Amino acid sequence: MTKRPSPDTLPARPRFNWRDFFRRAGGLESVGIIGVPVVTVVAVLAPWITPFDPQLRVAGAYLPPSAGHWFGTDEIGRDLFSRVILGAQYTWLPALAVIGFSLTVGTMVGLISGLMGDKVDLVIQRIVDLFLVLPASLIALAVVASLGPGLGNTMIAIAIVWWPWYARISRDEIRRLKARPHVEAARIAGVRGPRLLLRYLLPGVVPALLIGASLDVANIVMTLSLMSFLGLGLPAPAPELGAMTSRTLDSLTVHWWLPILPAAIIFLLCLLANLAGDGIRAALRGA
Amino acid sequence: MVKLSHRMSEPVTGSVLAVKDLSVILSREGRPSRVLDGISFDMFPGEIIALVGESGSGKTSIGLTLQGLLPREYLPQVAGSIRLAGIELVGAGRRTWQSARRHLVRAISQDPMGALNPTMTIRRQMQESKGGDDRSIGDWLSRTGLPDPERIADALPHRLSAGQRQRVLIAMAMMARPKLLIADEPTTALDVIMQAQILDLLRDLARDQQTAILFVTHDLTVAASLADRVLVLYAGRIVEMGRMQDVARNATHPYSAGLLAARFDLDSDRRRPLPTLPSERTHSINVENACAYATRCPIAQPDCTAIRPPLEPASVHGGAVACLHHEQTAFLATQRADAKPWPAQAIQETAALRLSNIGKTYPTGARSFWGRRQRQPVLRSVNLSIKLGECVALVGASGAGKSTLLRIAAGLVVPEGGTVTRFDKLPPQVVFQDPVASLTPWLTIGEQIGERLRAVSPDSDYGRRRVGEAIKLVGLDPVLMDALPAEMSVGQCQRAVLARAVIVPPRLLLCDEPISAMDVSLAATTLNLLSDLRRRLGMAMLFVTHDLAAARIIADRIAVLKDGELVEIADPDAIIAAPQSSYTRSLVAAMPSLQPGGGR
Repeated sequence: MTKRPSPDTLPARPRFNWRDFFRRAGGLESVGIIGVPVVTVVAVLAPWITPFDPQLRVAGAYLPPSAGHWFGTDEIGRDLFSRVILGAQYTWLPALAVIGFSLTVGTMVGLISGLMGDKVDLVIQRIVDLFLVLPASLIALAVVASLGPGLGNTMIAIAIVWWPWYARISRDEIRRLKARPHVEAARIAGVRGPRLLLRYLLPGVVPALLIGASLDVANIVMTLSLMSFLGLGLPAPAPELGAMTSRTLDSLTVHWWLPILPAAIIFLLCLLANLAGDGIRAALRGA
Repeated sequence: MVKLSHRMSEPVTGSVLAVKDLSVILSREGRPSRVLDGISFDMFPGEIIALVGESGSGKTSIGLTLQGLLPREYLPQVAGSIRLAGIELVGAGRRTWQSARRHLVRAISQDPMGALNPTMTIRRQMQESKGGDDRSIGDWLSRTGLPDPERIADALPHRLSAGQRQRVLIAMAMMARPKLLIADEPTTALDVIMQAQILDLLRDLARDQQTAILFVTHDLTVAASLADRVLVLYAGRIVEMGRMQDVARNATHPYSAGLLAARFDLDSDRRRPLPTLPSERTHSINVENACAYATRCPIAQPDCTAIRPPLEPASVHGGAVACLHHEQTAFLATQRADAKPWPAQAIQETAALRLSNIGKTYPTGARSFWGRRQRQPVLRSVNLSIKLGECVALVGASGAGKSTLLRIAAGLVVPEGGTVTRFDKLPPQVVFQDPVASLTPWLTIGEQIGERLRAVSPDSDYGRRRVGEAIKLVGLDPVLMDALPAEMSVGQCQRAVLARAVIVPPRLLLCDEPISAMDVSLAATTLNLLSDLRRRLGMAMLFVTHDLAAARIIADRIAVLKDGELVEIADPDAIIAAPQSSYTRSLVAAMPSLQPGGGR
């Protein structure tokens, strides 16, 4: 690379501008966009940052929230705040993993379907339809019932019903892009095969997938919590948020903090993810 | 403010619209910019004023301001005065505006489909618009020249043709008997024959209903065939105003003169490059104390960037002009005739492309009883051959099958019958209508042009040098190699598209309506560039257009396509002087001309 034109004669490239990005996303939505990575870091570091050992008795049973124990303590005197932080790990990270898996599989299937078109598209899309009509929670229940309860099986169950959405999104986007003049022009210029896919099509599909995925995080958090609420997630001692809510629901009137605070954290996680999704959508659309 | 002398004789009470010192500031992305600056003019009942300027000149903003419809997200600040039928509208409340929009000012737009509700019949929409009784609806529809008004009234918008929709919108607008009709590029999307009909209709309505029509256009030729007076707008200011014929004959502002010179019609000189406006608009100078046109102006003097020229009575016609040196403008015309003629093009006898008996059908929405889609023929055994080095223009109305034929020639569409023979294996290159959409937004210009150098890496020294040469060949600055399409103007994108097409010169270049969405000057620039490239690189060309004037400028032969059949093919001047088929005759007759009185 010898004679690149000197950079000062180039038009100023509007490289990615965070301030602009957040302005387009909106105030509350920006909180979500910042909140999601923060929650992820907290979830990863959870075992090391809890103020007390979440598995051990650290104080008297059924202490209400106080300065010492922000969320109070549970029926055997474990610190609820520590358990909720660890619980976020058990809920949040699996949700991200399910999204990641579904995105990968779904996008690949969708790209093949959209790119090949015709009969391949027809067959793949009917298979996708088949998965789409299955009721998500029931399939998950069936999978867990046959494979046995456990976080891994729950995740598999949810991923099975989730990838078709991304397959549909990426297929539609590819079909839309394929008809655009710039892709047609690239074909005429002689771009073929993987190069066409990776350079000219995929970057156009990413925004739609990103928007879809960010809005789905909340749904998956909800579904995972629902599964463990129904007793299909991790077994009893594990501080899974949904399970914590369900186990202590009968003490709602006496020790309100036991079911309410883990549920509130589920709500907060969903809210952050939804806000982030909305924000990303607004910011990318405006760009 | 300047009053036009020839209007002074009319009764002062006659003015239906009086705009005084109108200024509009819009804020985009938090940055305020003045889109209209000190606009003053009057309109009289039945008068048609053309508002002419390039994109971004503020001509559409005037129309929106007069309707109180400036986009709210741009935080419009409007100053000055708009008196419509005696009612002051600047600073008026929502109710006043609503009532004004209902009774006083109506508008028709470039995109009639977008202005109609796709789920409501025409009749219901017209009732909604006016609240009138059914009898007057049919009456108004027939007055706009629509056949069978009862059937059209009960149709949904998608059942109508583009020209019919525009007539429906005009009927809808005129039914309210407005004082002022704003027509924003109403014919840009229509072919010449429909355009001529719509212009006739507007002229009749202005006369019969005494409605003032503000006709917004970038096309001085269309303006000339319709308007009584013209306002030429540049960068939000009126640079010239006057009687249409006066300005068309003796344009006094260098910008109007440039616009007029750049406009080509059936009488333009096709042996040499078309005159164009110098370069494109720049925003670099502070226009508070300068003439905004100074950076492009061929007769600019030092004081042009120091003094803001006031709008003063013009010396050569009864209107007004904002130019410090307008007496120099007349000399511009003499310089133009000096352009060097095109060198002769070497046309060989061998065919670069031969299409024989091409047939193609498309499925229609209708299905037969057995569920088979019915098919509609778009091309019926078309024979066309283009010699090496020759340019053939394919002319026809929308839906005639022009684009389908081009796509078959490009190999993008497989014909059902007939054969396509090309001179060599190298595939033809295609230039599409929208240059911006033809470039991938996330790749740099250099990367995209380099795609055709498949054998060499575009990142190698040699690859970059080849890309740089191609960019220079089309008249772009090589530093733009690393620019993204969004950082370039439409004109620059068009050049980049051409650079990609010619970096490895193809034997055959196919152009699909490359100028139909461009304003006059850009269209002329593009025609010049294409003429130059094909001669320099010895390319054969198929140029698809609905503009007979453009076809005549660029082509060695013109082929006329009607309803999928080639009705005529001949030398351009022969075809225009003596059209053989009735369709070509109507096409030639409908062409607007700068000479007052319109067509031929």
